[in-house]
Amino acid sequence: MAYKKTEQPIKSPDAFRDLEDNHVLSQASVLLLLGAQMEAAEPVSSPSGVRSMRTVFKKVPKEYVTRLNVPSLKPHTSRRIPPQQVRAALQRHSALFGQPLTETPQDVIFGLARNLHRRRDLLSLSSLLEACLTHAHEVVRVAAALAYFYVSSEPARLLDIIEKGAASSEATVRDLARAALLRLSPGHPFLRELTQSLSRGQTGASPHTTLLVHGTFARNEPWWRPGGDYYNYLLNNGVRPDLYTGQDPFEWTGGYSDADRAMAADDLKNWLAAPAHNIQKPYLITHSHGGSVAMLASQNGLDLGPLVLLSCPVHFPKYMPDFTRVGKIVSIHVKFDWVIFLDGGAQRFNHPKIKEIVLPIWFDHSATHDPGVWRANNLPGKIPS
Amino acid sequence: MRPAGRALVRALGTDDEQVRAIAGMMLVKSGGKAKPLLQEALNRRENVSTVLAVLGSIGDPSMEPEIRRFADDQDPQVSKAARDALRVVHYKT
Repeated sequence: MAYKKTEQPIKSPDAFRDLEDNHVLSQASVLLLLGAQMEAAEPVSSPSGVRSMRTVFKKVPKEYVTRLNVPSLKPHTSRRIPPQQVRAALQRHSALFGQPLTETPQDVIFGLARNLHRRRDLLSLSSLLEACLTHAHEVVRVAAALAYFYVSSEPARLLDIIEKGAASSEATVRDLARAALLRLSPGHPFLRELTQSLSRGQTGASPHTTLLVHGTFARNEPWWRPGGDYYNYLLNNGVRPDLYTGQDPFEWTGGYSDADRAMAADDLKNWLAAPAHNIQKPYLITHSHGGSVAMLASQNGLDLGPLVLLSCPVHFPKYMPDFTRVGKIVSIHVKFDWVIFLDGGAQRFNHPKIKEIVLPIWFDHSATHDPGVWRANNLPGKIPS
Repeated sequence: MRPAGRALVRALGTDDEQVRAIAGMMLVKSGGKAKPLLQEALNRRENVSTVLAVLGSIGDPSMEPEIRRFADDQDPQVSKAARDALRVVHYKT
Protein backbone atom coordinates (compact mmCIF):
# COMPACT_ATOMS: atom_id res chain seq x y z
CA MET A 1 0.00 0.00 0.00
CA ALA A 2 1.48 3.34 -1.07
CA TYR A 3 1.65 6.17 1.44
CA LYS A 4 -0.42 9.27 0.70
CA LYS A 5 1.47 12.46 -0.26
CA THR A 6 2.18 14.27 2.98
CA GLU A 7 1.05 17.89 3.22
CA GLN A 8 0.95 18.21 6.98
CA PRO A 9 3.77 16.45 8.79
CA ILE A 10 3.29 15.86 12.48
CA LYS A 11 5.63 17.28 15.09
CA SER A 12 7.62 15.06 17.39
CA PRO A 13 6.78 13.58 19.84
CA ASP A 14 3.11 13.60 18.73
CA ALA A 15 4.16 12.00 15.43
CA PHE A 16 4.84 8.83 17.42
CA ARG A 17 1.34 8.75 18.87
CA ASP A 18 -0.44 7.25 15.84
CA LEU A 19 -0.04 5.06 12.75
CA GLU A 20 -1.78 7.24 10.13
CA ASP A 21 0.35 7.80 6.98
CA ASN A 22 1.31 11.37 8.00
CA HIS A 23 2.35 10.14 11.41
CA VAL A 24 4.37 7.21 10.10
CA LEU A 25 6.30 9.26 7.51
CA SER A 26 6.90 11.99 10.08
CA GLN A 27 8.25 9.41 12.54
CA ALA A 28 10.69 8.16 9.89
CA SER A 29 11.77 11.74 9.14
CA VAL A 30 12.36 12.59 12.78
CA LEU A 31 14.52 9.48 13.17
CA LEU A 32 16.51 10.38 10.04
CA LEU A 33 17.20 13.84 11.42
CA LEU A 34 18.23 12.42 14.78
CA GLY A 35 20.59 10.08 12.93
CA ALA A 36 22.03 13.04 11.03
CA GLN A 37 22.87 14.69 14.35
CA MET A 38 24.72 11.58 15.46
CA GLU A 39 26.49 11.16 12.12
CA ALA A 40 27.89 14.67 12.24
CA ALA A 41 28.70 14.76 15.93
CA GLU A 42 31.97 13.75 17.53
CA PRO A 43 32.09 12.95 21.25
CA VAL A 44 32.68 16.10 23.29
CA SER A 45 36.15 14.86 24.18
CA SER A 46 36.94 16.18 20.72
CA PRO A 47 37.25 19.99 20.66
CA SER A 48 35.12 20.09 17.54
CA GLY A 49 32.39 17.97 19.10
CA VAL A 50 30.11 20.61 20.52
CA ARG A 51 30.57 22.77 17.48
CA SER A 52 29.62 19.95 15.10
CA MET A 53 26.52 19.16 17.16
CA ARG A 54 25.46 22.75 16.65
CA THR A 55 26.24 22.90 12.96
CA VAL A 56 24.63 19.65 11.85
CA PHE A 57 21.36 21.39 11.16
CA LYS A 58 23.00 23.42 8.41
CA LYS A 59 22.63 20.28 6.25
CA VAL A 60 18.87 20.43 6.58
CA PRO A 61 17.06 23.77 6.61
CA LYS A 62 16.22 24.67 10.16
CA GLU A 63 12.57 25.20 9.32
CA TYR A 64 12.17 21.46 8.63
CA VAL A 65 13.88 20.56 11.88
CA THR A 66 11.66 23.08 13.65
CA ARG A 67 8.54 21.99 11.79
CA LEU A 68 9.10 18.41 12.89
CA ASN A 69 10.22 19.57 16.33
CA VAL A 70 13.26 17.31 16.26
CA PRO A 71 14.90 17.38 19.71
CA SER A 72 18.42 18.76 19.82
CA LEU A 73 20.61 16.17 21.52
CA LYS A 74 22.89 17.11 24.38
CA PRO A 75 26.63 16.83 23.74
CA HIS A 76 27.76 13.37 24.85
CA THR A 77 30.93 11.66 25.96
CA SER A 78 30.59 8.34 24.17
CA ARG A 79 29.62 7.58 20.62
CA ARG A 80 28.40 4.00 20.62
CA ILE A 81 26.20 2.23 23.14
CA PRO A 82 26.08 -1.57 23.62
CA PRO A 83 22.61 -3.04 22.93
CA GLN A 84 22.65 -4.75 26.38
CA GLN A 85 22.73 -1.35 28.06
CA VAL A 86 19.85 -0.17 25.88
CA ARG A 87 17.79 -3.31 26.55
CA ALA A 88 18.29 -2.87 30.30
CA ALA A 89 17.01 0.70 30.02
CA LEU A 90 14.04 -0.49 27.97
CA GLN A 91 13.17 -3.13 30.58
CA ARG A 92 13.15 -0.41 33.22
CA HIS A 93 10.79 1.54 30.97
CA SER A 94 8.37 -1.35 30.28
CA ALA A 95 8.11 -4.97 31.36
CA LEU A 96 7.22 -5.79 27.74
CA PHE A 97 10.90 -5.65 26.87
CA GLY A 98 11.68 -8.52 29.26
CA GLN A 99 10.72 -10.95 26.50
CA PRO A 100 11.38 -11.13 22.77
CA LEU A 101 9.15 -8.62 21.01
CA THR A 102 8.00 -9.03 17.40
CA GLU A 103 6.28 -5.63 17.27
CA THR A 104 6.64 -2.76 19.70
CA PRO A 105 3.23 -1.29 20.67
CA GLN A 106 2.90 2.28 19.44
CA ASP A 107 1.97 3.65 22.88
CA VAL A 108 5.29 2.35 24.20
CA ILE A 109 7.17 4.01 21.33
CA PHE A 110 5.29 7.24 22.01
CA GLY A 111 6.39 7.08 25.66
CA LEU A 112 10.00 6.61 24.61
CA ALA A 113 9.76 9.55 22.22
CA ARG A 114 8.44 11.78 24.99
CA ASN A 115 11.24 10.55 27.22
CA LEU A 116 13.78 11.53 24.54
CA HIS A 117 12.32 15.03 24.38
CA ARG A 118 12.69 15.34 28.16
CA ARG A 119 16.22 13.92 28.49
CA ARG A 120 17.79 14.50 25.03
CA ASP A 121 20.62 12.10 25.88
CA LEU A 122 22.21 9.22 24.04
CA LEU A 123 20.57 6.46 26.09
CA SER A 124 17.08 7.87 25.52
CA LEU A 125 17.79 8.15 21.82
CA SER A 126 19.14 4.60 21.70
CA SER A 127 16.08 3.30 23.55
CA LEU A 128 13.72 4.92 21.04
CA LEU A 129 15.74 3.63 18.09
CA GLU A 130 16.00 0.11 19.52
CA ALA A 131 12.23 0.00 20.07
CA CYS A 132 11.60 1.30 16.55
CA LEU A 133 13.57 -1.59 15.07
CA THR A 134 10.40 -3.61 15.72
CA HIS A 135 8.00 -0.85 14.68
CA ALA A 136 4.78 -1.89 12.91
CA HIS A 137 5.87 -0.04 9.73
CA GLU A 138 8.97 -1.05 7.83
CA VAL A 139 9.71 2.52 6.70
CA VAL A 140 10.18 3.48 10.36
CA ARG A 141 12.25 0.34 11.04
CA VAL A 142 14.59 1.28 8.19
CA ALA A 143 14.88 4.92 9.33
CA ALA A 144 15.60 3.73 12.88
CA ALA A 145 18.26 1.31 11.64
CA LEU A 146 19.99 4.06 9.65
CA ALA A 147 19.93 6.49 12.58
CA TYR A 148 21.02 3.78 15.02
CA PHE A 149 23.95 2.90 12.77
CA TYR A 150 25.77 5.95 14.14
CA VAL A 151 25.00 5.09 17.76
CA SER A 152 24.92 1.33 18.32
CA SER A 153 28.01 -0.74 19.01
CA GLU A 154 26.49 -3.56 16.93
CA PRO A 155 25.72 -2.00 13.55
CA ALA A 156 25.76 -5.28 11.56
CA ARG A 157 22.22 -6.29 12.59
CA LEU A 158 21.02 -2.87 11.47
CA LEU A 159 22.33 -3.47 7.98
CA ASP A 160 20.17 -6.60 7.84
CA ILE A 161 17.07 -4.47 8.43
CA ILE A 162 18.12 -1.96 5.80
CA GLU A 163 18.97 -4.67 3.27
CA LYS A 164 15.59 -6.29 3.83
CA GLY A 165 13.93 -2.91 3.29
CA ALA A 166 15.85 -2.50 0.04
CA ALA A 167 13.92 -5.45 -1.37
CA SER A 168 10.53 -4.28 -0.03
CA SER A 169 7.51 -4.23 -2.32
CA GLU A 170 6.55 -0.81 -0.92
CA ALA A 171 8.23 1.96 -2.93
CA THR A 172 8.70 4.38 -0.04
CA VAL A 173 10.43 1.73 2.04
CA ARG A 174 12.60 0.67 -0.90
CA ASP A 175 13.60 4.26 -1.68
CA LEU A 176 14.60 4.95 1.85
CA ALA A 177 16.39 1.65 2.44
CA ARG A 178 18.35 1.84 -0.78
CA ALA A 179 19.32 5.42 -0.16
CA ALA A 180 20.31 4.42 3.37
CA LEU A 181 22.62 1.74 2.01
CA LEU A 182 24.03 4.30 -0.37
CA ARG A 183 24.73 6.60 2.54
CA LEU A 184 26.51 3.89 4.48
CA SER A 185 28.69 2.85 1.53
CA PRO A 186 32.12 4.34 0.98
CA GLY A 187 32.42 7.35 -1.26
CA HIS A 188 33.78 7.21 -4.74
CA PRO A 189 36.44 9.63 -6.11
CA PHE A 190 35.46 11.42 -9.30
CA LEU A 191 36.11 14.38 -11.53
CA ARG A 192 38.90 14.63 -14.07
CA GLU A 193 39.70 17.12 -16.76
CA LEU A 194 37.58 16.89 -19.85
CA THR A 195 39.58 14.98 -22.42
CA GLN A 196 37.12 14.16 -25.14
CA SER A 197 34.52 16.04 -27.05
CA LEU A 198 31.28 14.71 -28.38
CA SER A 199 30.39 13.92 -31.90
CA ARG A 200 26.94 12.57 -32.48
CA GLY A 201 24.45 12.51 -35.26
CA GLN A 202 21.44 14.80 -35.07
CA THR A 203 18.23 15.02 -36.99
CA GLY A 204 15.30 17.35 -37.16
CA ALA A 205 16.04 21.06 -36.88
CA SER A 206 13.45 22.85 -34.76
CA PRO A 207 12.66 26.41 -33.80
CA HIS A 208 11.65 25.34 -30.30
CA THR A 209 13.78 26.52 -27.45
CA THR A 210 12.57 24.91 -24.22
CA LEU A 211 14.40 21.71 -23.33
CA LEU A 212 13.85 19.12 -20.63
CA VAL A 213 16.96 17.66 -19.00
CA HIS A 214 16.46 14.42 -17.10
CA GLY A 215 18.24 13.37 -13.91
CA THR A 216 20.20 10.39 -12.61
CA PHE A 217 19.37 7.05 -14.25
CA ALA A 218 16.32 8.63 -15.89
CA ARG A 219 17.60 8.45 -19.46
CA ASN A 220 15.02 5.83 -20.39
CA GLU A 221 12.19 7.44 -18.42
CA PRO A 222 9.17 8.31 -20.55
CA TRP A 223 8.06 11.45 -18.68
CA TRP A 224 10.58 13.83 -20.26
CA ARG A 225 10.52 12.38 -23.79
CA PRO A 226 8.09 13.26 -26.62
CA GLY A 227 4.81 11.58 -25.68
CA GLY A 228 5.62 11.42 -21.98
CA ASP A 229 3.07 12.70 -19.45
CA TYR A 230 5.08 15.70 -18.24
CA TYR A 231 6.30 16.48 -21.77
CA ASN A 232 2.72 16.44 -23.09
CA TYR A 233 1.52 18.52 -20.19
CA LEU A 234 4.08 21.28 -20.87
CA LEU A 235 3.54 21.24 -24.63
CA ASN A 236 -0.20 20.89 -24.91
CA ASN A 237 -1.48 22.99 -22.03
CA GLY A 238 0.12 26.29 -22.94
CA VAL A 239 2.84 25.93 -20.31
CA ARG A 240 5.79 25.75 -22.73
CA PRO A 241 4.43 25.63 -26.29
CA ASP A 242 8.01 26.27 -27.45
CA LEU A 243 9.14 22.87 -26.11
CA TYR A 244 11.62 21.16 -28.44
CA THR A 245 9.64 18.63 -30.47
CA GLY A 246 12.37 16.98 -32.52
CA GLN A 247 12.72 13.24 -32.17
CA ASP A 248 16.33 13.61 -30.98
CA PRO A 249 15.88 15.35 -27.62
CA PHE A 250 19.01 16.10 -25.62
CA GLU A 251 19.88 13.23 -23.33
CA TRP A 252 22.90 12.28 -21.28
CA THR A 253 24.19 9.09 -19.69
CA GLY A 254 22.26 9.73 -16.47
CA GLY A 255 25.22 8.23 -14.64
CA TYR A 256 25.96 9.00 -11.02
CA SER A 257 29.34 10.66 -11.08
CA ASP A 258 30.82 14.09 -11.46
CA ALA A 259 32.42 12.87 -14.68
CA ASP A 260 29.04 11.91 -16.17
CA ARG A 261 27.67 15.35 -15.35
CA ALA A 262 30.71 17.23 -16.62
CA MET A 263 30.62 15.31 -19.87
CA ALA A 264 26.89 15.94 -20.16
CA ALA A 265 27.45 19.69 -19.71
CA ASP A 266 29.85 19.67 -22.63
CA ASP A 267 27.47 17.50 -24.67
CA LEU A 268 24.64 19.94 -24.03
CA LYS A 269 26.73 22.82 -25.34
CA ASN A 270 27.62 20.85 -28.47
CA TRP A 271 24.06 19.63 -29.00
CA LEU A 272 22.68 23.18 -28.93
CA ALA A 273 25.38 24.51 -31.27
CA ALA A 274 25.00 21.71 -33.82
CA PRO A 275 23.70 23.02 -37.18
CA ALA A 276 20.64 20.80 -36.94
CA HIS A 277 19.62 22.58 -33.74
CA ASN A 278 21.33 25.98 -33.57
CA ILE A 279 19.45 26.93 -30.43
CA GLN A 280 20.51 30.07 -28.59
CA LYS A 281 19.83 30.67 -24.90
CA PRO A 282 17.44 27.75 -24.37
CA TYR A 283 14.85 27.74 -21.64
CA LEU A 284 15.81 24.71 -19.51
CA ILE A 285 13.60 22.68 -17.22
CA THR A 286 15.73 20.15 -15.36
CA HIS A 287 15.11 17.44 -12.82
CA SER A 288 17.44 16.36 -10.01
CA HIS A 289 21.10 16.21 -11.15
CA GLY A 290 19.97 17.38 -14.61
CA GLY A 291 20.13 20.77 -12.90
CA SER A 292 23.77 20.14 -12.02
CA VAL A 293 24.42 19.48 -15.72
CA ALA A 294 22.79 22.79 -16.70
CA MET A 295 24.71 24.74 -14.06
CA LEU A 296 28.01 23.18 -15.14
CA ALA A 297 27.22 24.03 -18.76
CA SER A 298 26.83 27.70 -17.81
CA GLN A 299 30.17 27.53 -16.03
CA ASN A 300 31.61 26.11 -19.26
CA GLY A 301 30.49 29.20 -21.17
CA LEU A 302 26.98 28.26 -22.31
CA ASP A 303 24.48 31.12 -22.30
CA LEU A 304 21.07 30.03 -21.03
CA GLY A 305 17.65 31.58 -20.86
CA PRO A 306 15.51 30.91 -17.79
CA LEU A 307 16.43 27.86 -15.73
CA VAL A 308 13.83 25.87 -13.80
CA LEU A 309 15.40 23.41 -11.37
CA LEU A 310 13.09 20.63 -10.16
CA SER A 311 14.17 18.73 -7.04
CA CYS A 312 17.77 19.76 -7.60
CA PRO A 313 20.25 18.62 -4.93
CA VAL A 314 22.37 21.58 -3.89
CA HIS A 315 26.10 20.86 -3.86
CA PHE A 316 27.70 24.23 -3.25
CA PRO A 317 30.16 25.29 -4.60
CA LYS A 318 30.62 22.33 -6.95
CA TYR A 319 27.39 22.93 -8.84
CA MET A 320 26.34 26.55 -9.09
CA PRO A 321 25.30 28.53 -12.16
CA ASP A 322 27.36 31.29 -13.71
CA PHE A 323 24.80 33.98 -12.97
CA THR A 324 26.17 36.21 -15.74
CA ARG A 325 25.18 33.57 -18.30
CA VAL A 326 21.77 32.47 -17.01
CA GLY A 327 18.36 34.16 -17.05
CA LYS A 328 15.92 33.95 -14.18
CA ILE A 329 16.40 30.87 -12.03
CA VAL A 330 13.65 29.11 -10.11
CA SER A 331 14.20 26.10 -7.87
CA ILE A 332 11.09 24.04 -7.16
CA HIS A 333 11.25 21.36 -4.53
CA VAL A 334 9.28 19.53 -1.89
CA LYS A 335 10.01 19.81 1.80
CA PHE A 336 12.68 17.55 3.22
CA ASP A 337 13.22 15.52 0.04
CA TRP A 338 14.54 12.17 1.30
CA VAL A 339 16.49 11.37 -1.88
CA ILE A 340 18.33 14.71 -1.78
CA PHE A 341 18.99 14.30 1.92
CA LEU A 342 20.48 10.85 1.45
CA ASP A 343 22.41 11.92 -1.66
CA GLY A 344 24.13 14.39 0.65
CA GLY A 345 22.93 17.53 -1.11
CA ALA A 346 21.36 20.51 0.60
CA GLN A 347 17.66 21.09 0.06
CA ARG A 348 17.75 24.73 -0.98
CA PHE A 349 20.15 27.25 -2.50
CA ASN A 350 19.56 30.20 -0.18
CA HIS A 351 20.85 32.52 -2.89
CA PRO A 352 19.26 35.89 -3.68
CA LYS A 353 19.39 35.20 -7.42
CA ILE A 354 17.56 31.87 -7.17
CA LYS A 355 13.83 31.99 -6.44
CA GLU A 356 12.79 29.07 -4.28
CA ILE A 357 9.32 27.55 -4.61
CA VAL A 358 8.66 25.07 -1.85
CA LEU A 359 5.67 22.86 -2.56
CA PRO A 360 3.27 21.93 0.24
CA ILE A 361 4.38 18.31 -0.15
CA TRP A 362 6.91 16.46 1.91
CA PHE A 363 9.53 13.80 1.11
CA ASP A 364 8.64 12.87 -2.58
CA HIS A 365 11.53 13.47 -5.05
CA SER A 366 9.47 12.84 -8.21
CA ALA A 367 6.48 15.02 -7.29
CA THR A 368 8.02 18.04 -9.06
CA HIS A 369 7.48 16.57 -12.54
CA ASP A 370 3.98 15.32 -11.82
CA PRO A 371 1.44 17.23 -13.98
CA GLY A 372 -1.13 16.91 -11.20
CA VAL A 373 1.20 18.65 -8.78
CA TRP A 374 1.86 21.40 -11.36
CA ARG A 375 -1.86 22.00 -11.79
CA ALA A 376 -2.68 21.89 -8.10
CA ASN A 377 0.04 24.38 -7.23
CA ASN A 378 -0.36 26.70 -10.24
CA LEU A 379 3.29 26.24 -11.14
CA PRO A 380 2.87 27.45 -14.76
CA GLY A 381 2.10 30.90 -13.33
CA LYS A 382 5.16 30.83 -11.08
CA ILE A 383 7.94 29.98 -13.54
CA PRO A 384 9.56 32.62 -15.80
CA SER A 385 7.65 33.37 -19.00
CA MET B 1 25.32 -8.31 0.65
CA ARG B 2 25.12 -10.43 -2.53
CA PRO B 3 21.32 -10.97 -2.42
CA ALA B 4 20.85 -7.26 -1.71
CA GLY B 5 23.21 -6.48 -4.58
CA ARG B 6 21.22 -8.67 -6.95
CA ALA B 7 18.04 -6.93 -5.79
CA LEU B 8 19.68 -3.63 -6.70
CA VAL B 9 20.61 -4.84 -10.17
CA ARG B 10 17.03 -6.04 -10.66
CA ALA B 11 15.80 -2.65 -9.45
CA LEU B 12 17.62 -0.99 -12.35
CA GLY B 13 14.75 -2.27 -14.49
CA THR B 14 11.90 -1.04 -12.35
CA ASP B 15 9.36 1.48 -13.62
CA ASP B 16 9.79 3.52 -10.45
CA GLU B 17 12.17 6.35 -11.27
CA GLN B 18 13.23 7.00 -7.68
CA VAL B 19 13.91 3.38 -6.96
CA ARG B 20 15.94 2.96 -10.14
CA ALA B 21 17.95 6.12 -9.43
CA ILE B 22 18.75 5.08 -5.89
CA ALA B 23 19.66 1.53 -6.92
CA GLY B 24 22.02 2.86 -9.57
CA MET B 25 23.54 5.37 -7.15
CA MET B 26 24.17 2.61 -4.64
CA LEU B 27 25.82 0.35 -7.18
CA VAL B 28 28.09 3.19 -8.32
CA LYS B 29 29.00 3.97 -4.73
CA SER B 30 29.82 0.31 -4.17
CA GLY B 31 32.46 0.68 -6.86
CA GLY B 32 34.56 -2.41 -7.51
CA LYS B 33 32.48 -4.57 -5.18
CA ALA B 34 29.54 -4.32 -7.58
CA LYS B 35 31.51 -5.37 -10.66
CA PRO B 36 30.87 -9.15 -10.46
CA LEU B 37 27.13 -8.54 -10.08
CA LEU B 38 27.10 -6.11 -12.98
CA GLN B 39 29.08 -8.53 -15.11
CA GLU B 40 26.56 -11.27 -14.31
CA ALA B 41 23.75 -8.94 -15.33
CA LEU B 42 25.44 -8.18 -18.66
CA ASN B 43 25.89 -11.90 -19.33
CA ARG B 44 22.17 -12.39 -18.72
CA ARG B 45 21.34 -9.21 -20.69
CA GLU B 46 19.48 -7.92 -17.65
CA ASN B 47 18.81 -4.16 -17.75
CA VAL B 48 21.79 -3.85 -20.08
CA SER B 49 21.69 -0.15 -20.93
CA THR B 50 21.38 0.95 -17.31
CA VAL B 51 24.01 -1.54 -16.15
CA LEU B 52 26.36 -0.06 -18.75
CA ALA B 53 25.67 3.45 -17.42
CA VAL B 54 26.51 2.24 -13.91
CA LEU B 55 29.77 0.70 -15.14
CA GLY B 56 30.64 3.96 -16.88
CA SER B 57 30.07 5.91 -13.67
CA ILE B 58 32.24 3.49 -11.68
CA GLY B 59 34.89 4.32 -14.25
CA ASP B 60 37.13 1.30 -13.85
CA PRO B 61 39.25 0.90 -17.01
CA SER B 62 39.48 -2.87 -16.40
CA MET B 63 35.79 -3.11 -17.34
CA GLU B 64 36.35 -1.49 -20.70
CA PRO B 65 36.49 -4.76 -22.72
CA GLU B 66 33.25 -5.85 -21.07
CA ILE B 67 31.56 -2.60 -22.02
CA ARG B 68 33.09 -2.55 -25.50
CA ARG B 69 31.45 -5.80 -26.54
CA PHE B 70 28.08 -3.99 -26.45
CA ALA B 71 29.24 -0.98 -28.50
CA ASP B 72 27.87 -2.48 -31.72
CA ASP B 73 24.86 -4.17 -30.17
CA GLN B 74 21.80 -4.60 -32.37
CA ASP B 75 19.69 -2.72 -29.84
CA PRO B 76 20.47 0.98 -30.51
CA GLN B 77 19.68 1.89 -26.88
CA VAL B 78 22.27 -0.61 -25.71
CA SER B 79 24.95 0.35 -28.22
CA LYS B 80 24.50 4.04 -27.39
CA ALA B 81 24.74 3.30 -23.66
CA ALA B 82 27.91 1.28 -24.23
CA ARG B 83 29.59 3.99 -26.31
CA ASP B 84 28.66 6.64 -23.74
CA ALA B 85 29.94 4.46 -20.90
CA LEU B 86 33.26 4.11 -22.72
CA ARG B 87 33.45 7.88 -23.07
CA VAL B 88 32.86 8.31 -19.34
CA VAL B 89 35.54 5.73 -18.51
CA HIS B 90 38.01 7.53 -20.78
CA TYR B 91 36.99 10.84 -19.31
CA LYS B 92 37.82 9.65 -15.83
CA THR B 93 41.22 8.16 -16.68
